[in-house]
Amino acid sequence: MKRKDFLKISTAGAVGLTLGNNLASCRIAPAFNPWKGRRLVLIQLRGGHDGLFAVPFRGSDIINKQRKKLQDIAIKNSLQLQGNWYWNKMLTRVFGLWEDEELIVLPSVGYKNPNRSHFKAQEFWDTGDVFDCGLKDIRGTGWLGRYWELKKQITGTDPLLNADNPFLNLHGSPTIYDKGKSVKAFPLTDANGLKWYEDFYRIEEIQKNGEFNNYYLDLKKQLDLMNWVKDFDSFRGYTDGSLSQQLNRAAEIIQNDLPFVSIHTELDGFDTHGGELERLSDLYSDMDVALSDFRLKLKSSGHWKETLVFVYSDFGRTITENESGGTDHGHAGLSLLLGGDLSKFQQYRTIEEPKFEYENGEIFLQYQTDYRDLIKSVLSFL
Amino acid sequence: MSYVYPTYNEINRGLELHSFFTDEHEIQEEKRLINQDKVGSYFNNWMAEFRESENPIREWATLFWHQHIPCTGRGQRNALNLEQNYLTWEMYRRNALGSFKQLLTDFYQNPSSMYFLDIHRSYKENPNENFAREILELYTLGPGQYTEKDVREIARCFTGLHFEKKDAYFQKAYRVESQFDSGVKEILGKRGNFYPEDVIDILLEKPECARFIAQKAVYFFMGEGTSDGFQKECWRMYYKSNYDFSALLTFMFEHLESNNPKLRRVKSPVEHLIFLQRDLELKTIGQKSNGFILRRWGQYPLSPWTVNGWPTGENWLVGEYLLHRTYLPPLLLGIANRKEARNSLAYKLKSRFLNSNFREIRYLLDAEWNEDKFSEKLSNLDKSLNQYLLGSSKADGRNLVECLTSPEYQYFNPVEKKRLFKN
Repeated sequence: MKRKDFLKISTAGAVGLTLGNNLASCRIAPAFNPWKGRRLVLIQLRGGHDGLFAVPFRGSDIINKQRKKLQDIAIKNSLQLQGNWYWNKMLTRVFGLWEDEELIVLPSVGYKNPNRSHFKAQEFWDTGDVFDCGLKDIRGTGWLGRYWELKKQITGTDPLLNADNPFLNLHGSPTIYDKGKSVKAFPLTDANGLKWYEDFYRIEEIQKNGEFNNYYLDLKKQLDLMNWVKDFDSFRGYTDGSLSQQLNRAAEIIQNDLPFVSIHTELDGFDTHGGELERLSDLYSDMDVALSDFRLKLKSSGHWKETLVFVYSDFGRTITENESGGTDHGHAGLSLLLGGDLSKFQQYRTIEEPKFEYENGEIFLQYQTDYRDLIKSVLSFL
Repeated sequence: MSYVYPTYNEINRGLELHSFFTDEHEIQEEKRLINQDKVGSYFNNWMAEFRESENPIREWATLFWHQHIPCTGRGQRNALNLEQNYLTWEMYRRNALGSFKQLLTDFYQNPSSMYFLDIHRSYKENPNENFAREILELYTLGPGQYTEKDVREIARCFTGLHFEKKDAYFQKAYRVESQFDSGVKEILGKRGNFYPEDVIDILLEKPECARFIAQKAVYFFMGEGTSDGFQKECWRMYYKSNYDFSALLTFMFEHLESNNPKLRRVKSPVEHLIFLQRDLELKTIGQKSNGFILRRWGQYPLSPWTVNGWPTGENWLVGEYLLHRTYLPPLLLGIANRKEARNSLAYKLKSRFLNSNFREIRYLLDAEWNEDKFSEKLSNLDKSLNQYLLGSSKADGRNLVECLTSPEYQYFNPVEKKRLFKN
């Protein structure tokens, strides 16, 4: 058999026939149950964010002495939040939310005996469980996944609750926070591939193998997902990894009532071991525009009151700055809550003065809010 | 089944897929890369070797080390950067089958990795902890085997290192003694005025280091499902051989355990592309074509996701990565099959690169294939692919598209892959 003949049979057979029969049905986006309830937008600042640079504290000799250069710059360009706490001017637009009482600042979130490895710290945040004190059956599952499955057990009537993918990741990194026994988040970074693969849309026709059923279901869901967003303005270009693009996409998804209760975004590059000022200036300018635009968009469409934005990071950084103009992995870190309705978080309105702790003679910010308590209150919003 | 003749729209769609070739800027860049020859196409040459060689174990091991001790590249815009990338890649390749100690020693003195892990800006007062933490947690001992104090003490040993910089190009590493912390350090229970070389010796003395690396290697080359006993034998063997990787690989491949047909692992994108090309005897040659595919599949060399490299296993079978890796191969084959698309694209490519010294322009759609040889191989393809797939009885009677899109094809089995290596 000649090469051409062979390819004629194999590719044209499967692709061509599928194309001919089902072309019309491919063009129509599949239906979904619109979701009009409350939503969570998670923003993970990857690498360990230096919270003391975004929210500097003025009244401490320890901080002033240990991080002279960074503290000087941060204090010079800052606005007063509450007492001795200040807000970095690089995030001026977000400061508007503080004035409107739509922002809650938690400068020292963490847990006892913190782990300073990126991967362990992220695992703790995602699983909501510090190792060696957890139960075996929740290993590998995340706080949101477990919460959702519990909710599904209690109330099985809501149409959205029957969907297996109520969470969305707007980036490609693997996550654990969304994992339950059957539930998980779907990643979506790009809808450009869809136009190439329309021929393969009717994948169920070649679905034969029971062992790998999920594989085909996932493929189908991914195509559905891309079909829902393919005409959105924000999905036109290619992914650039910026928070602005991800939040634009999140806003459009929310405004179109797509069935996702949680949307996860990430901004990478906070692991500032050196050259912190330059790096954070870039990242903050992105964050500032992204967050303020997101709020404006949702306010105008009336979704802002039903949305809670939760900003968190692996850990804080050292109070002491190193000689490369950066900081190393530290203990407690900064978390932010943004939203149109923060009535459930009144207990966090007052920002407490920082406390310090020592490890091997080095000084660190001590945690004052346990991250698990914070996650619990975030879940109570849903 | 009858042959459906391609319509004008279909060809157009095919061309759209390859529109990255029509962008004038990209063509210029491609030409510039071609002129760099071996340096510019360091990765291409490596892939060609992986694809063509009868025994590509060195190339495969290069990929393993790049995933274990990842390092970022320096961008493609600058010719000098490209040379730096070439040197980084050569570092992995040179040491892939040799001693781990040599690789680590080369790694901390390689300007790209120094830049990546802030080694070049760590001073006596307040040393930078970035590299110290990663060498303990990710490269040698693994999590939980060290204390925060060890991190700080090791950071002190790696102070005062710099690399020469000339026209923004990184060159040889050197140490400024006045910036080096020459005090007494205490690392993992040992005291002394340690230098970087001593730190590596101390770390490699620990059997935990051999265990950590050997376990990763067993997963990488053998897949999931190996017995604990086998893993234990492997890491003891690796420790005894003084971290000689070729000894470990020989031991693994010759062990009875490697004949277990149940072992399997999801192919990483680079492996998926290479094994696909080896299975199909097709080639996607050229910086742009390989880049186009690998960026969509999520793994581009010298662009690791984190300091821990790339995700492994089932993490590759999600989202768009799953979509692209499943459907791109049959789509490209489908386009290759369309006569008009093939001819017009081949014409385009030829006319663009006619005067260049690009020797490997045998792109997927190139009309200058040796058709006789190719068709002979392809006639047995269906059968061999079915044999390749796990649970071949279920795969009987599948056609090419179904084979390529099947979940089984996303996995590899070491028993099959062992045939690649003749010694």
